[in-house]
Amino acid sequence: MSNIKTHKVEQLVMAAVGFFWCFLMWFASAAFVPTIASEFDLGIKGVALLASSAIWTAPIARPLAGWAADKFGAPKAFVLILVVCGGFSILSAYAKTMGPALGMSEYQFLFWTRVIVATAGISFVVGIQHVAQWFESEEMGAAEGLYAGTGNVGAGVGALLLPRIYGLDYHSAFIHLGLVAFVIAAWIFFRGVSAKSEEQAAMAKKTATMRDTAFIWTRHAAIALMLAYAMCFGLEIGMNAWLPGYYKMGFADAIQSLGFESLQEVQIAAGSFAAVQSFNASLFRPFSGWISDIWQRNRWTPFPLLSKKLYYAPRIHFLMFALVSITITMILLTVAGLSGSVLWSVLFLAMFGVTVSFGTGGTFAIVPLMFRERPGTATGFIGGVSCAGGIVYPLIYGQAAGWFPEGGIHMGYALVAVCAFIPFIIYYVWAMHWDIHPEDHGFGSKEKWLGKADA
Amino acid sequence: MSGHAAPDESYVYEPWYKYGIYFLFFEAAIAVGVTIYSLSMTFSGETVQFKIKKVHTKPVAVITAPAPVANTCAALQQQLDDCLNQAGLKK
Repeated sequence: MSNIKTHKVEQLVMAAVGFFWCFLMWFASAAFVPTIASEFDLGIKGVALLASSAIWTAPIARPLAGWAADKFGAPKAFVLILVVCGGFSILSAYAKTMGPALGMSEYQFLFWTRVIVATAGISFVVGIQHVAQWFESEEMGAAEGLYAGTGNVGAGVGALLLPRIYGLDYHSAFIHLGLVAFVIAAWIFFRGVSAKSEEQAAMAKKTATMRDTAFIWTRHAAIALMLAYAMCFGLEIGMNAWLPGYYKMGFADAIQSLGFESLQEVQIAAGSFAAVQSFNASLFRPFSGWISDIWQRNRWTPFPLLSKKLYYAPRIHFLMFALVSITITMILLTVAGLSGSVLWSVLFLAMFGVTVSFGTGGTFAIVPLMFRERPGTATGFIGGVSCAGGIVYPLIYGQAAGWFPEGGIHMGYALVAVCAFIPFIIYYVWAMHWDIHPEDHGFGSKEKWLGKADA
Repeated sequence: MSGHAAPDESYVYEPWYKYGIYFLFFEAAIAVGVTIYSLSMTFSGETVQFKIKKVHTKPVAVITAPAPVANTCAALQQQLDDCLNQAGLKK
């Protein structure tokens, strides 16, 4: 254990700043999609592939990052992520010279280095673990909310500010982002402490076992919550990567008629519209935990079929409300897109962002209560695998553009809502109907996975 | 019931907690501000850019009034007549 004198608020700020910067690097490419698409002549499918590539590593690497945080301590995991991603961010700025030198095209080098930079997103799990190691359970909601909300907004800040600061010069942006990542890594290296006590740090090493992991990954409730998180956080990150390109292509005429003519102006406008989603989804997230508390206090359980007897049943009903709201606003986004109105699209996007924040905050208001004995493993599974949604959705949006003769670029949202989200909701309703220990039901009995002694 | 115990509601929060909640409100205000700003952009069509704009000015072209067509034709006719005279082809 380190002898550094510190306070838990310093550790919270450190985790939030580290995660914020990782998120900023994660979605920096998205902020420059209009420039990159023009420079390398990318079509809708090319933009969709670039958008989804930002999330390719997350589903596999997030559970690993959670394990690494338990095993080696969150500060070390954070430093490693910042140094590697910062380094590749700098390298990606030199695609023009390094790509051909390594026998690749400039775009191939840029694409793959940015995929590596995008692993920065795995830091979410590391920070969640770090905050959990420092705060009491009564303060956990606010602490995790401050951490996750402040960190997630990095994507919105990138979309809003990077095109304004750097114009079309994404190379300089990537270099500066990498350099600042090194500075933050040095701060965490010298000041980061993995837990408030030596005993707590040691306990984290013990808890994650293969048997427990298999047990959690096969529970209906965990799978339902993972799908619910894919409907909100997976969707949020997919949209972060997709939206700047969507506004540039889907509303080209409308944006031009507003007076945004040059590529730089269009990029700034598209980034600003896209930032609405990220800001609302991130910064309202802590509030959704608070709203979940209100449902809990008033014992609101309005939905049929879902359990009403569990002591945290109102939180399950609140998440159901969030999932239905997300599905409706997705359909509204399609309607606004087909109408060609940027105003309605941005307005619905703001509503959409708030409903997404209800989903993200609502999910993690349930996870620690339902999986009280294995919160780390459950968080790794639900927060990690759900990111696959962020890969799939942009690809569907891109493909949908070719499936419809007109307005196909707008149809992806309704398509995902009807074909994916409604079945997810039905599964959620079924998985949450048990009134006693819903977390024990799954594929294979508890005894089978954990043995009779542990079950 | 689920068998889980309800959380302790008599917990006394530390001083940082109050400021943490204030910060949450501040963050929500930022989100609302960004939304209003982006919506205003959909009306005004104007953006704020931090980078100094490079303004490329074209050199001012000297514009001369085009010669009237009648004058041009007359001049050409005169040149033709002169040539014909010199060649002794015009009477």
